[in-house]
Amino acid sequence: MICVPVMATVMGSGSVSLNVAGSTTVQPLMVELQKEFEKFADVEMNVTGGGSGTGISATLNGVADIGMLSRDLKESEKNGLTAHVIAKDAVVIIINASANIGSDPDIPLEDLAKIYSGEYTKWNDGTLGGSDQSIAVIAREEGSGTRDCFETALKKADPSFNMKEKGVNSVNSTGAVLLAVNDTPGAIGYINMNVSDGIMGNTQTVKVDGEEATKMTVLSGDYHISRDLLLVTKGDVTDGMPIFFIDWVLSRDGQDIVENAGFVRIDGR
Amino acid sequence: MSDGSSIGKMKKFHHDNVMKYVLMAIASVTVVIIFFIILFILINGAGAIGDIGIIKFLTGLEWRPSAGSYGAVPLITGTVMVTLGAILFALPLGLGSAIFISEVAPKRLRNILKPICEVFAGIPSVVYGFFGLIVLVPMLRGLFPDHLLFGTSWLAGSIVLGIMALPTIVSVSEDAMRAVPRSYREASMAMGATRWETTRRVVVPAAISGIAAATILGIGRAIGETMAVMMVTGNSPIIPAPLWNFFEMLRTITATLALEMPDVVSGSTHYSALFLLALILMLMVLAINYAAKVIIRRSRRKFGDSAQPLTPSRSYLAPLYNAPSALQMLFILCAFVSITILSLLFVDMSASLILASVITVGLMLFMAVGSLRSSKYRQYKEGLPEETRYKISKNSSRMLRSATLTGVFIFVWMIASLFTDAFISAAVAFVVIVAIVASAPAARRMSAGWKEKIAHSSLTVVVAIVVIILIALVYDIVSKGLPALSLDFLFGYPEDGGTGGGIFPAIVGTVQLMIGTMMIAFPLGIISGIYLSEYAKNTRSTRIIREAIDILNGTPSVVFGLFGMAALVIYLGTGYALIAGCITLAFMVLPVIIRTTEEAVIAVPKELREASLAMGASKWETTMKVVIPAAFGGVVTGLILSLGRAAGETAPIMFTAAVVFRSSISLSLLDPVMALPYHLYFLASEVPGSSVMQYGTALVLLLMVLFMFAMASVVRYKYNKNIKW
Amino acid sequence: MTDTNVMDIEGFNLWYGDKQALFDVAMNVRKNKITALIGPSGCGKSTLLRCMNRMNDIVDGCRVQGKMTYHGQDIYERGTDVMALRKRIGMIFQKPNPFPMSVRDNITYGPKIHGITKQSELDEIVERSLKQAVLWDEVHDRLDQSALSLSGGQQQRLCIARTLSINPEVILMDEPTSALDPIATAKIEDLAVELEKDYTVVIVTHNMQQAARISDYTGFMYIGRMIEFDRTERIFSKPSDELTERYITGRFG
Repeated sequence: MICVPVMATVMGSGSVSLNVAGSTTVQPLMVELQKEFEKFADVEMNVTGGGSGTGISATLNGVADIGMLSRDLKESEKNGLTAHVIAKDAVVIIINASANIGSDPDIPLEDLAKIYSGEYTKWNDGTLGGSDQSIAVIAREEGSGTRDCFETALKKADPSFNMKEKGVNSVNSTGAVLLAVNDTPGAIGYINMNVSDGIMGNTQTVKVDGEEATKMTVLSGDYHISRDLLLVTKGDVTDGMPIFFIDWVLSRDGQDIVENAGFVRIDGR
Repeated sequence: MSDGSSIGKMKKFHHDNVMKYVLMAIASVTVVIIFFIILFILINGAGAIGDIGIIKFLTGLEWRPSAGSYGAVPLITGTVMVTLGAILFALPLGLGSAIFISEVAPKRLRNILKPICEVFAGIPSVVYGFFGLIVLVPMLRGLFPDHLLFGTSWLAGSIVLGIMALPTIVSVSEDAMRAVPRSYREASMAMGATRWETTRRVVVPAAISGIAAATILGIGRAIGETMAVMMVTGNSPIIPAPLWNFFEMLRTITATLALEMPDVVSGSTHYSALFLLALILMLMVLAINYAAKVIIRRSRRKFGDSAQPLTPSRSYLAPLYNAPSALQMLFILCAFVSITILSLLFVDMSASLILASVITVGLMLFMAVGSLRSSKYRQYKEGLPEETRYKISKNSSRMLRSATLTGVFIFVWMIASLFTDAFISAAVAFVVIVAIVASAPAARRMSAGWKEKIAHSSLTVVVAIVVIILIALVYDIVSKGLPALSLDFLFGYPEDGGTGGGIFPAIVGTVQLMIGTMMIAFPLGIISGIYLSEYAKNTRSTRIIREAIDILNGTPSVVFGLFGMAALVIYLGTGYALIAGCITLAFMVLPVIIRTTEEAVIAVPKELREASLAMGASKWETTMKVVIPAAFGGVVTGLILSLGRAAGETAPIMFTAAVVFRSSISLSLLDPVMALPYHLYFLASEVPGSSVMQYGTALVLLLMVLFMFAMASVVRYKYNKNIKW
Repeated sequence: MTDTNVMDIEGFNLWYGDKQALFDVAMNVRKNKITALIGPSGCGKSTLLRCMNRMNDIVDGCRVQGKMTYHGQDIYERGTDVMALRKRIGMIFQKPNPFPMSVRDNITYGPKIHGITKQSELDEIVERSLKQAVLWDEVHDRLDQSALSLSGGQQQRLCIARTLSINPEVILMDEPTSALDPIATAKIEDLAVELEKDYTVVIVTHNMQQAARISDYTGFMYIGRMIEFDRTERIFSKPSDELTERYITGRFG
């Protein structure tokens, strides 16, 4: 058991190694970055998932050189870590077509808050104007960066917003949200923008406050449910491979990959 | 012929002494591991007690870590409710099937049904969860469109868990009924009782402790289950409203651990709260296992010494249950009213009525049993006048009957109230009660032969239901999985996000995990088992070690996953890696291996050891050449079964070793791997349009595990044939 | 032939935990004789027998005190090589307990343990032991079959042959015929008498006729005490103790 870290050191000694761990949202992007970066630099990268929390723990413990996060660092977590924003992501709302709120559905943020707090329970409640179908609410699990981003946005629209728990189906991945929304009549859920082309026949994407989640609206802030994707390093790391990597991600080459992976680039191009 | 040569002294470094210390050293490694795991969970959980406060944790009604609310009540309720529902579903079916198999079925049918049951006990839980999610959940949504938005619900969770617990309950209670001596049955039949009367009045009562143990074992299995539950309950951390609303989605402790573990930062409050939850779960399982032990011990005592007098229970309550029945009724009425009024202070009307009714029924049962026992006791002790005795027993049976009726009333009302309003439900429940009371005289007049016919045909129906459920499960998987099986599927890599291609890396990954688990767990487990049974003296410390092994033996697999992630992946820094998965799985099966090895070794008759020792063989030689060969079959069976269990487990590897995709076979111990159970979970819950791949994966996993079980039965069969004592 | 003592026992006490099972026992075992121990159930005769090759060591909480010597050497002395002791003093148990192996492997088990590996030598031992145990004619054509396929009487003679294979000096027999039918019993008794020429035998039996028939010396035990120890004909003709007399005339026990 004790020999494991030793083995890790020995086995990685061929070339410089870079261990990355954390958010499953960022993971697919990181795999794309890995492919290119390994061509660019003499480095061997190991990318593992887990979750944003795993990313923080692993970086603090020195198990990972870089942690991936799909949420901001909390005050209590800032100690000892440096955060680097590498991209922006939006949380996209999807519904099952049986809600019947039009071919180009649009829900104001206030109404989303009413749906997720339990005030609206049917698709014809309030100003939703849909069918007489119960709303089947799907959410991500506690601790998920996506959930964090979504709830933060709703709180901005309605400071008294309180997420309901009763009758909410909690699932632990974006894929599971896609699947559940597509299969459940009256369902509503939220996903990351990079998988929004993966939606299926029964599912519609929803505009929020009249805006669609695009590169432009996210950057301008017109689309209200967005967040930063972060890489974190240990606070005292100021150079070396991790910093070199992050600089490369922020370069034009890196940002091209960010955009191709479905996220929003932040280098202004 | 013999010389009187002197026998001399034993060499200081005789191999017997040396081996004893070698074994002891290896066994103590195991002991250190076991205590390390328990301590690790304790210490990590203890952090939450300081941050949150144990009272707040245990009484808090809201679980919302992001808002700093760590109330475990909804999760504990969820766990209890899902388990309770599972038992309610599985017990009648399981018990009925067990009675059918043991008492009614012709021998040939029994020889088919019994092994089928044992095979189903070995199906991995993720396969049950998969079946629940793909088949059961849409079915329930179709059946109750007004009540179930998703189909995922407490109801779905209980049914899936119930199906999972069924084989255990059937198999163990059937064993208990088989063990009732034939002479009991013959004695009853010889007095002209029908087979059904014999079953009901002789066999079942005699086997009751075994049946209770089976039920508790089933509960233990259900309570620690993770994957199946997480896939079908919907995971809302709420308390159902009303409390018995089985259409509600709810969240168990195990599902919470599996859902939230990857998102937490180690050392944070949320992190230690999860460990505290794991501790609570372990305590729940421990309490259940302890209850099973007590029941088994009691029944042994009962059968061992039949002359033991029935002692009066709580004699200071005797006036209560020996009072005239009118007084008792008055007392019960007062209790009912006062409890209702008192609880109105805290909850609403319907809840307090329910609470009061439940407590009242309990009270009535208690009084009925109490007066029965006290009358028996007095009968034994003093010999009461015939008349008084008759009155007491009549009184208590009346009490028993009204308690049962009240129970039925409440149950029917609870279920009806989910569909309609409270008053109509009460009316429905009332009609049911009236029907029961009205039909009672008719039932009493019915001839014994007719009763038997009715009983046996209902048992047949029960067995048919169970068999249909189990066959449907297997048929569904086999018929839809077979078309997927092809060389490309078995030897190809996943493509298009899992909707196409093959599962080769997952098959190889599972095999790698098995081999690694074997290499770690087998030597440690076997040697520790041998040391504990052959060498360790029965001292306080060995008792503590055995106790610790039992605790780990009952620990749900998700807790091992939690430990593996925190201790290996993060703390030791393996990352998601083959080695972390192997160690976690090995620790999980270690207690099972130690226990089965010990049992197999202890089963070797003491006479064989004596024969060997009496010829001047050392203890080590005796162990190696006589004991182990004789116990070989038992040990190997245990090993294969434990490996089969490890092969189907998802929760321990999902945080430690398993990833959803690999483009190559993992060649390093530090690489993560794909694994069949995790792949099935991933496809079923996250990948739309992967139905064919799902069924194919489920079938391969099923075949792999069943192959191991078949191997275990072959070994057991051969061993039973060769060795008899 | 002079009667030299192989074992001497004097002032021997034994406790299981807090319970004393043997009280101040004294007796001796004479070379090339059969010594029988008789007495009612639970009198301690088997316990005493099992002390003679320290088989009681296996029992948790067993403690002894007093003198028990083998050729003058105290067998309970610290550091005694128990394995070597048991090689010299073999034991036959109440219930036949062959190993679940072939007949041949049962016999060669002991010699192999004690370091004999040459096949020809082992074959010789198998034949000699089985012949000594009067079993050779019955089993010589099925040496490789499981020992468990033999009848009860044959199994017990196999166990005797197994003990003979390591050439002990003393053979302890713990009610060796109690699980057998009369014909098998007679064969074992004949065998014991036969063995007397080469070996020293101590036999525990609850069958007084058996003791009278085959033994040279008899000890009568009662509740953990050695009531009387003497030549067999004396015990059965004019016992000096009243208890002994009552027992052998069948008035109790």
